[in-house]
Amino acid sequence: MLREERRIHSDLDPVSKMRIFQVVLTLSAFTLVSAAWEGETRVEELCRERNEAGKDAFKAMVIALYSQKFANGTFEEISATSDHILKILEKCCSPDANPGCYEKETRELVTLFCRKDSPFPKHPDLDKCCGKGEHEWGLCLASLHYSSEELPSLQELTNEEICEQLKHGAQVFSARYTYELSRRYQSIPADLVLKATKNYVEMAEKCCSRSLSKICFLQERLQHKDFNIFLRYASNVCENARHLKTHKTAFMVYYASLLKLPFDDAFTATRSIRDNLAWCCSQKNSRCLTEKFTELHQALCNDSSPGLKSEDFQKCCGKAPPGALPCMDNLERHAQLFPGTALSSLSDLCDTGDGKALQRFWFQTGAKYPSIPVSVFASFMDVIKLISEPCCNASDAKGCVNFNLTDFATAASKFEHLCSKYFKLDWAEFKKAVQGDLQSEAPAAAAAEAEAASQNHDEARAQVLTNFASSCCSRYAPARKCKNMVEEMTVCKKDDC
Amino acid sequence: MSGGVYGGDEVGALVFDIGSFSARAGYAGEDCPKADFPTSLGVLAEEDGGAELAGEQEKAAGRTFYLDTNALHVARAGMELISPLKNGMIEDWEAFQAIVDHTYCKHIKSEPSLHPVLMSEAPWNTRAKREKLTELMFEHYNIPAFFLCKTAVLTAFANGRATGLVLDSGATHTTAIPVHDGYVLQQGIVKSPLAGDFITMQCRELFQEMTIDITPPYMIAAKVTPQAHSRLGCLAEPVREGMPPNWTKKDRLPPVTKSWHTYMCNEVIQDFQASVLQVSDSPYDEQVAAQMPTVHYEMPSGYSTDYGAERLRIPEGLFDPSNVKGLSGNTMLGVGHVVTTSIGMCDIDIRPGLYGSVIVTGGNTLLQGFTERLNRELSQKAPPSMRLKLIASNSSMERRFSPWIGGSILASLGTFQQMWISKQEYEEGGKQSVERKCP
Repeated sequence: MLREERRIHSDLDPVSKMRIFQVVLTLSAFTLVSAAWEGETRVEELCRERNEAGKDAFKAMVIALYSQKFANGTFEEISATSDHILKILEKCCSPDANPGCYEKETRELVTLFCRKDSPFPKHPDLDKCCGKGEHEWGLCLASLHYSSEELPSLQELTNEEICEQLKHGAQVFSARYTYELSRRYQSIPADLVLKATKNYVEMAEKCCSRSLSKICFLQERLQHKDFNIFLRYASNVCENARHLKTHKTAFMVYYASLLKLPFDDAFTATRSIRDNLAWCCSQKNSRCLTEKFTELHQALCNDSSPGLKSEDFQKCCGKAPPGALPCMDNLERHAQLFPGTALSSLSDLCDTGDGKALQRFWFQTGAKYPSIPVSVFASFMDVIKLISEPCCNASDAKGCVNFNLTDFATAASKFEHLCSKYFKLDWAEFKKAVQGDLQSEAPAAAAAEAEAASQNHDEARAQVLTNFASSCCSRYAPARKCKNMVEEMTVCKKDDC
Repeated sequence: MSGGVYGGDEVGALVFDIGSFSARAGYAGEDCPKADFPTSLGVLAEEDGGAELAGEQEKAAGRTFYLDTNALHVARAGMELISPLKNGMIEDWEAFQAIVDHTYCKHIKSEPSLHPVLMSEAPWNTRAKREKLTELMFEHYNIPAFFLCKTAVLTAFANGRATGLVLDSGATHTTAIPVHDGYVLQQGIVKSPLAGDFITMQCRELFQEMTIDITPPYMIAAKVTPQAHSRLGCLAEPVREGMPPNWTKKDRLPPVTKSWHTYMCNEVIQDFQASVLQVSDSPYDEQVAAQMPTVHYEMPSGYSTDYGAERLRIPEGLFDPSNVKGLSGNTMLGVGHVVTTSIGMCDIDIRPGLYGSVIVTGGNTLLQGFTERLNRELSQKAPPSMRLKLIASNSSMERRFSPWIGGSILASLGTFQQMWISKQEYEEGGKQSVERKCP
């Protein structure tokens, strides 16, 4: 492997690697290249999937997977790609196809991808892949992924617009919605997106066929609202699992603070959701993810399971699994204090055992701060790990960084303070309170010039804090964006400390 | 009925939407409410009240209530004007009951025990008040089934949507309430007192400055209008524009209370608001406003004049409170800010859905130019990546009644029938059932 390619591969987290594997094995253009390398069996698998699913459903799946992968691509670019792939399969799946059909066609496809005037989605790192040898293209292209921290907006249409768009044909309408929804929900199994699309198209067909009826739209929307709520919940869980290394511990803290569970009980109750969650999210079929959620639901709601189950919690348990977990998300979490729990030194952070001691430490720290959402706490742990890792590998772990555990606790409590205030106060009061806090932290007034500079600094800092709270204090805080923000706020940069 | 679930819609369900300004009630499935009357009531302490109860009177321990448009407008000595609601929530339960009694008796004309009831509530209603209301409806009115739903959710439903940012500018408040998949997102509710009553107050100040008396019709026996001779007879000279009015006061007017008189004056001002005021399509500019075509308005007293720049100046405070007299140094939010602040308080992933569905409702939004200005402000304030869409019905009835219409649609859906709190469920689970069944 070239050094550059090795770097791309080594930078990938396990989930991305799994995604590559999945993409290689299933539907992407690059898959076909890979299939060609590995003999006809993979190709046969693709042809079989296509035959089993039917042409339209297969096409919908290709659009969904591509829109998830290239969420920055336009609908036209995604359509062009999926059309091309389907054309290749059409040609090469026929019984009288040439044996070298796939290899030839996919090579042409990749060449087309690398052209400046390519009709397919663009990616900033595309040139890097295209500069590689023919046999490395496939893996390199498959490793590319949309990386913006902002999720693309989902186009919300009015009922009138829905009916207007449906006039162009149900197929185009359906493809466009699949595209929109997939780029919004990039980390969940694609079949969930397809199910939501099916609901949406059915609603449009039903409600636009008669004279436009608000009642019909409402009835359909209410019928599917639980599934939409589940979709959002699943997307949040999977985004965290995909982008945050320490998401497992953060999940454990989360459910423990809902039920006031001690570490060992929380460890057991959340075992199912911690194991292989990221892998389940990366599958195109949601079976595995659904099983995870069902197991978690059972573990949390089982009568024999420990924990303080409030009336509201039991009410959530009474719902079917897709509704139960999102329902729990609305419940109040409680701070828990555990006596005598602290890592004595930084070297404890470099836990070399099964990781349980360290997890216990994170758990007990996180349990104190119920206002910090899962993604923010996991981001925070990720950042601390990032800081401590080089030290753990150094010969003198104790002395290698001056970040100490007290700083860590102080930083965590500041996030808690900020987020709990964000929920208690209204926006104007909150902004004022943040400014007030910064002023009270500032040293006594110095010369006028210094005071002015300090005021500017405070204003900028207040802006950072309020932006953070507005983006990251809510329960479905976006993983990538918040991870970047937490890093900005936690890691000392130049003279901004 | 089976399994504690109310399973039948054999008798029409009733929908009640009792707002700060007016109360609406009628049958589910119909297009508009049967009853629409002011929420405010006239009240007399027992010793002042008449011995016999007339049609629009309701009696409670020690107090007689006068309600509905006609009874409320009769001048009565010592009759105070009260509202059963405070901040959109029930405060005076007796007065509230008087409204419900009156609705059953005079508008619905049927027994409460025959009809399931869907009632709207303020999005910030408290648990104690919800439970008390549930208890009242089942115990006192003996209704067969009950459901409580937030006004904002019903407004979204009335527009065929389960998600949207509901901007409700009514009498007392302008409120932005995010609704997502049929649920109110409590943390995103933003309220501002810049609403209909605020505009009424501003108009009142304008009339003081212009030394225009607000004379409500109840005081006037006869008047001379600018255009034609009135009942004063052909001998009277017509009143010219801008000249003092020529009217005669009714004889033997009873000594009315200040609260009632103020209410009557406010009705005059509210008519002026609806007829004359207009929201500027861009931030207020004195010179542009001076070019505005004037509007002629005649007061009930016969006084008439033209209004120009003030047509735009007064409602400007709704959108830009910074220059409003008496509000200096205020931190009140203008309408555009109420919307953006509210959306900013919601989870980042649902913000596009909310910007894409801003539902405008409430009587105050019927001011001319309101939605156009809001659209302009939001286009400037919303992040550029957001697709903005305002949903505002052109029908003033739909805009005023949207929570009622939403309730009417909801209660008539087949899938809703399992959502009622049935009498049996109430008897088994008590008033707490409302928390469980009505999120």
